Amino acid sequence: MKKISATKTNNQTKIALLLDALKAIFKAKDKRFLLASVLLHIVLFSMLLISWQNSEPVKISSIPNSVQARVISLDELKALREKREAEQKKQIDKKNAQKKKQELKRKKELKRKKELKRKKELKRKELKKKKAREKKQEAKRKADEQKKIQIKKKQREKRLKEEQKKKEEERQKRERLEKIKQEKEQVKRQEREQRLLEKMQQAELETQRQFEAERVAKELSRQQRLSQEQELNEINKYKNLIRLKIKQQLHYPPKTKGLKVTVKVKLFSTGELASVTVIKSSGSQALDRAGLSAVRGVVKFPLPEDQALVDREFREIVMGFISP
Amino acid sequence: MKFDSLKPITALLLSGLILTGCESMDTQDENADVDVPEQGAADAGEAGSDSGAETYGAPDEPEVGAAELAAQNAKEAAMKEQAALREMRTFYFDFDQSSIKVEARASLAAHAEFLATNPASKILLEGHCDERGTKEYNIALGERRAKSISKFLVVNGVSRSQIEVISYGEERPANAAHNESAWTQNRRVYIEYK
Amino acid sequence: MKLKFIFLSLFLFVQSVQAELYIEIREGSDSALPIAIVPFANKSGSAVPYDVSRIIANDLQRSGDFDALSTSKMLSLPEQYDQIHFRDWRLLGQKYVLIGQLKYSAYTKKYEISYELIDVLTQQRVLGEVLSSGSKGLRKLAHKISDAVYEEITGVRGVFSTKIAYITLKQLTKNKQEYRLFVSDADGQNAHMIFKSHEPMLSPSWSNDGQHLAYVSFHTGRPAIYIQHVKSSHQRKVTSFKGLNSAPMWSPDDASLVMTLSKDGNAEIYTYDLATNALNRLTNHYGIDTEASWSPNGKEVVFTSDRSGRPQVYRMNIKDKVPERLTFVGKYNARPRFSKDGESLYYVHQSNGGFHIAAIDMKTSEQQVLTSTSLDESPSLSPNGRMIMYSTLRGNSSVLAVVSVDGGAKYFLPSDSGDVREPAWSPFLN
Repeated sequence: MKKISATKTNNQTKIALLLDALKAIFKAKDKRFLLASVLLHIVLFSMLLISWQNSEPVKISSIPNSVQARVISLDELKALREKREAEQKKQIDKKNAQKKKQELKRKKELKRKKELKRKKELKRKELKKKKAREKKQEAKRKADEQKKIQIKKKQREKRLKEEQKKKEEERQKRERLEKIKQEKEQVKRQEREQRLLEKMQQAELETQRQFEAERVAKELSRQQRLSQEQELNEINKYKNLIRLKIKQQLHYPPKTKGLKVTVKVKLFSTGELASVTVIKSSGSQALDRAGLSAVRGVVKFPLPEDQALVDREFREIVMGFISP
Repeated sequence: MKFDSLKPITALLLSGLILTGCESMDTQDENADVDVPEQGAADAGEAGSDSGAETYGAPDEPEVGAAELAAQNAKEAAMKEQAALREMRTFYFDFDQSSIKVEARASLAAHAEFLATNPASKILLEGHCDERGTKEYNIALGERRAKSISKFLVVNGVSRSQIEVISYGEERPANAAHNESAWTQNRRVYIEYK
Repeated sequence: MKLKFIFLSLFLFVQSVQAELYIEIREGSDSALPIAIVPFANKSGSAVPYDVSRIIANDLQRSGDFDALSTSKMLSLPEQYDQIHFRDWRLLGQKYVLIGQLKYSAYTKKYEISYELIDVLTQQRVLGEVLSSGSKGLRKLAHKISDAVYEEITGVRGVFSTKIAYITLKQLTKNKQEYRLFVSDADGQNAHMIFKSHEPMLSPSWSNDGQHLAYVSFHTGRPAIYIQHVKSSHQRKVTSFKGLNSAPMWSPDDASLVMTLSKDGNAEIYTYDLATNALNRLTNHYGIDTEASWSPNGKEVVFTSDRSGRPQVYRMNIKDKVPERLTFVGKYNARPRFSKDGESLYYVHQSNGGFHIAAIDMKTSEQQVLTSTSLDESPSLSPNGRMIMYSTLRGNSSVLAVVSVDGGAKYFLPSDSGDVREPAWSPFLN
């Protein structure tokens, strides 16, 4: 019983501890949540900022620019790029040639080494056979100690030779490794050089691009200004045409001098009237009605051919009628 | 009174100058003339000889009889002259003006003398205008023209009670045409003896 | 950063508001409002004594504010709404169509006229009525419809049911003439003579209640001012002073007349209290002062005076009696009449040798000559202030003409023979 209760209390304390631990974790988690949310906010805001910053050039690119100017700039760019690419190619060719030479050398060496290895292997096999034969012969040779000593001597000599060989091999190996290392470094250096070169070229390109971009931007803004002016002219032209059309339909009622009614006119893209409503009454029902009637009397409103311009400027027009 | 003493001179001047025809200077200042009747009478004598003779047909020149009758004849001639001058009953005015024209003075003086010597006779002065301008203003203008004549007569010895004034404005044109010559004839004051 | 974002969105919003295209129109069509008065369908079974729809068309046409479509140009003659081909009327450039029907009830012996005014562009009925009248009242009824249509569209009360008074002069023999005082409908029709004389008659003036006329008559041989009740023809002599009794004008409250008398020496302006017969002398000058007219508020008079040497228009407060000269352009400006709002004067103005009706803005002193006819005289304003009737020389006789106050519409009133002169436009009559 006691034992059970003890285990129970043990269990209880264990649960309490677990809870405590959970609580602690929870607290810690809270903090972590806070941290996470702060981080999330920062990320969101930065994304917002980035997207807003990014939205600007998009706007610019949407503005139509002259085709001719674009061709000129691209041509120049192309020429530049080709020239630079040719230079790069030359350099790369040179390097490739060197690489090839080295590769050839290395291959020859490898072949030679392989040959050596094969021979060594063969020798080793022969040696093994010899040894086996020697072991077989040992019993035979027991009598012939001289022979044995000689054999031993030979063996020692052999071993020495082998050791020397081994040493030689190791040395060669080290040398090879060193060579590889050097080669590797060489490659790395070349790569670094290449990267630097590329970087420099990139920088050169970057400034070139910036310059070009500036030039293009200047050209664009000039064109933009021109097209804005043209657009304004177009708008004014059609404003006057509409005014003329309305005027023909407008019969100001008497005794309304100086009064003004403002109406909102909605048009279909065809120039036909969608709706007209008074948005600010003149106080004279007759004048309000005359204004509406004048708008309704226009069968088709004259609109620019540029549908985008129509959609942007002419679909909703506010008109003010001031009785003369 | 002063005027009376000048009468013989006036008569003499009239008969003497009747055919000479002298263009008078136009003073235009009616009030000044009225205020100084001597000069007005003298002017009337000079000017009336011409316009009177031409416009209304001057009577035949009286024949001078025997020397002994000369004085009497002269008097008769003067009277005839006066009567002839009184034949002139219509007096004309410039547009929008009520000042008496110089050529009207002799005749008006004759009318004045007659009325002064015949206090029982009465006249009606009818003021008229041409059709130009507004009707009611013309009614007032017609009255002013008639009153202008009235003043001249009163100054020349006529009693106010002898004179009546009425303005017809543009209502009774002498010539119904709508032209300058008709208008000239319509801007007038008519003296009607009752 | 958030702030920046808000600013940015605000800026974009403002930009989008500014971007809305705005067109301002301060000029209108040179032509009058096109309206089609379709001949009313006669369902009475017999001929109708008056062509009601033609009277309406003439009324609206004469107003100068409407251009009534000639019947011959109409593509169809609808009698009711569902017969209207809106496309046709729109093609004809019409803004409104008036249709109607005329029935006769043998039982009540009355005509019943129903009419509808339809907006061609919205295809909506904007006015409609059923009216009835005996055959004699048909003309009056037509004018009533004209008034309703005019007011519905222009917002201004029509004057087609008002009257005019005028004087005619007929030369009977070489030395005998007859003056007649008439009252007729505003279109010159339906004329009734209310007084006649072989002696001059002048200066008819309507009382503001539309019941009486004041005028000058010489029928006794002397000028005197009379008041006559229009309906009963009862006449009352007001003044017959020695000298001038001239140019009577009713005060706005009809309690007194302003007039010209010369009883005190020369032409001066007086007010005459109709209840007490009391005279109040306003002017005191050796020049001519005459042709006085009341301001709408009854506090001032404007008049003609030649105190400067030439007739010019002056204004005077009837309390302080200090004259103020108003006209300075031209040698002859006379017989002023106030506009209904009291802000302008209409008067006779001499320019280039001719006499014309001119208007002067009291605030700016700007003068505008309204007529180009010859020997124009006696301007009289319509009660809605839109038209001026005056007399003018046409051929060899004087006729009545009408010009709108802005100088637009012009027409002559028909006259049988002789001279027609001194029109006086009545006030609104019920």
